[in-house]
Amino acid sequence: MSEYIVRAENLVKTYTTGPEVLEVLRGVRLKMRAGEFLAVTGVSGSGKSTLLHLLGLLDEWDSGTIYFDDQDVSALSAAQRDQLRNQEIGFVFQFYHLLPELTVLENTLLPTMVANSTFSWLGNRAKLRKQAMEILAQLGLADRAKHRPAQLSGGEQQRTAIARALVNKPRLLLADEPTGNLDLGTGGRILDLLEDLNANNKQTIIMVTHDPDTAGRAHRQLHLDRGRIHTSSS
Amino acid sequence: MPRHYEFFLICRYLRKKRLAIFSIVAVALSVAMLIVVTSVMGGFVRQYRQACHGFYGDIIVRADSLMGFPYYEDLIAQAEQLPDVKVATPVIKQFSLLRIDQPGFKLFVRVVSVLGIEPNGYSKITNFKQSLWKQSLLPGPPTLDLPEGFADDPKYRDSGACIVGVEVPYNRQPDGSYKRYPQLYDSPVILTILPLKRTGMIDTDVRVSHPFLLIDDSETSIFSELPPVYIRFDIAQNMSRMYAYRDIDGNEEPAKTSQVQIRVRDGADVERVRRQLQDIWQKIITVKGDPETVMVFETWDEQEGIAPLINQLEHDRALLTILFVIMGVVSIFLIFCIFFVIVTEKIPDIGIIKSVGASSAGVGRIFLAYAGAIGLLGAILGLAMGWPFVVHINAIHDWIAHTFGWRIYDPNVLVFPYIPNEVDWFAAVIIIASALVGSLIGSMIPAIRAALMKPIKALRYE
Ligand SMILES: Nc1ncnc2c1ncn2[C@@H]1O[C@H](COP(=O)(O)OP(=O)(O)OP(=O)(O)O)[C@@H](O)[C@H]1O
Ligand SMILES: [Mg+2]
Repeated sequence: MSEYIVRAENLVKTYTTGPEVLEVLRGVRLKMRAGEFLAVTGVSGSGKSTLLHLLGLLDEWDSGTIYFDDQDVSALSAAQRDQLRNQEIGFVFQFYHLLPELTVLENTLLPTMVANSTFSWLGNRAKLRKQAMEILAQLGLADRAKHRPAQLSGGEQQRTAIARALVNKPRLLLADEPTGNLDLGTGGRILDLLEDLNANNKQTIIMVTHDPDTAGRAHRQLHLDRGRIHTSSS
Repeated sequence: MPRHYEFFLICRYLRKKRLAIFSIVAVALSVAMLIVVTSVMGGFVRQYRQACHGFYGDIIVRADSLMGFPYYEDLIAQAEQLPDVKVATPVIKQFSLLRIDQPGFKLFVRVVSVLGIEPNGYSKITNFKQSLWKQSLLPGPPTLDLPEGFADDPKYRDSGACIVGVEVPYNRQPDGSYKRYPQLYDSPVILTILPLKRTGMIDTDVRVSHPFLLIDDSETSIFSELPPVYIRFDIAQNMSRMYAYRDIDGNEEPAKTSQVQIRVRDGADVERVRRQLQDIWQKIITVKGDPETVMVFETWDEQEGIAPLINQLEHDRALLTILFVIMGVVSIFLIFCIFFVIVTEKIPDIGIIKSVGASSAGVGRIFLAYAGAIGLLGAILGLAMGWPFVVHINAIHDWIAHTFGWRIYDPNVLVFPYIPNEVDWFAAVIIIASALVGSLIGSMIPAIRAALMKPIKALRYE
């Protein structure tokens, strides 16, 4: 087992819109040990979400390397990357991104349906549902399991997204502004939850935020500025 | 290996999407329409072929002249020796005038086509007996003899018996039936035939008008320009001067007929029998001397007056099929549009599904299978609509005619009393398969587009 769960070397990411080339990341370095709780800060538009998407294998980059368990992910096949996204990484989006036609429970179970064939899913359905319900209960959503996203508050939707990210027990949790759209109290409870996951389950977490107080709850902070990482505190 | 989310999401999308229902109905309507049109048009062609075929042998050997041809007895005897030939029978075909002079038919004169037949052989080859009004249910072969009571009556000593095509004395009712006058049967009529001399000129020295007793009528659903009147072969031969004789110069004239009709065994190769008949004819004329008659060896559907109508019907059907194929292509394009909208609307979903590890193939499969399900459900629904429509098409047609006064199908134009109401299953299977393939093709491009989308691009899609 490697020292680092995830490592980024010289990550460069540009967006080309017509004649304009926007260099968002200009050589980002980052190392994450298992069990760490890291906050990435920076002003709006500094590329925090972009970085997190690259670490979550949701987008392509121009140059540099991302290692997962010392494995260069660009050397992996598409199927292996899909597998990694499904099994090892949980992603919480800034804007929740739930499937509107599915209930809270079904949204939570989606990664398990990706992991299993119909045959094995039906075989394990009771167990998988029980696990999902436990996570939902832990997040205070037990009585919302049958609701649709449209019937939920923002905080409840965010917690559903976290439940979905956790359901396959990934080793790495990536959370993009998990409290960004929430009031102080609700956001605070979500932060408590992440801290709790990190402390009790040894969950490795990378959290993006622009709020210094929120960032202060993490073990370590990285500051993103003009496309580069600046370590700010530990 | 498909994963559970594919199956789960297909079901969920099918259940939730109004667009899915519209697509299913669009496919169903196209399928139903195609099934109805091909079945009905195909049914007309088949009915017409059957009706025609029931009235001719499989092969007709004839002289290409009203003069007829000789040696037909040899031809028949040798043809019947062929293993593939069931029956061969001579038929004399002549133009004639029929005169009826009865109450209700005062000096009623028509041009008809006289058919001199041997009732026994002829009814083995054709549905002649089944077409008769009075004799069809009697046992045994039909007869063209005078009925009992007339045969011994000196008044009818010179008379033959004749059976007229039902359309000779009667007009067709709007519903396709005929109203018969019972007093017409067993009443005297006159047939006038102009016999030809050896030179092909009319023989004015012999009697041309002959008394007959009208004993029955024959109802078929084939249309001929000249309605038929059936008389006995030997009588027709005498009347048209086709019997054997020796002229004043001592020349022997052999007996002649207009045609010989041949019925082959079921499943026999008609073309082969045709060639064998041509060989037989060649041998006969090498032995007996070539009369230099132009001979025609044709199959029943090559005959003058039949081939054009069948071709017309088949052409109509082909034309309609092409029109409906175009409509099918339009339906596929509509399905493409609908799927394009469905996929576009689902792009954020695609981003989410991919972000939790779904593969491109899996996402593509969701949309393809979704389209396949829509195609299949649409085709089944289309069959469920088209099938009963075809089966009950006559009742539906009557109802429309009755309620709105539109009689779309006029039995007087085509001679069948009913619209064909059997589903053409061969065509139906092809149509259903095309609907499925069409749905898949229509959704292929959107599905591929969905599959290839990068998760983040999909999530940020506006
Ligand atoms: N698809 C894209 N095409 C072009 N430019 C993009 C695209 N996505 C992001 N950008 C640009 O890249 C920069 C970084 O965006 P990113 O979303 O990573 O910022 P962020 O740090 O997460 O900001 P915020 O705190 O507001 O969420 C922004 O200037 C943004 O306009
Ligand atoms: Mg952001």
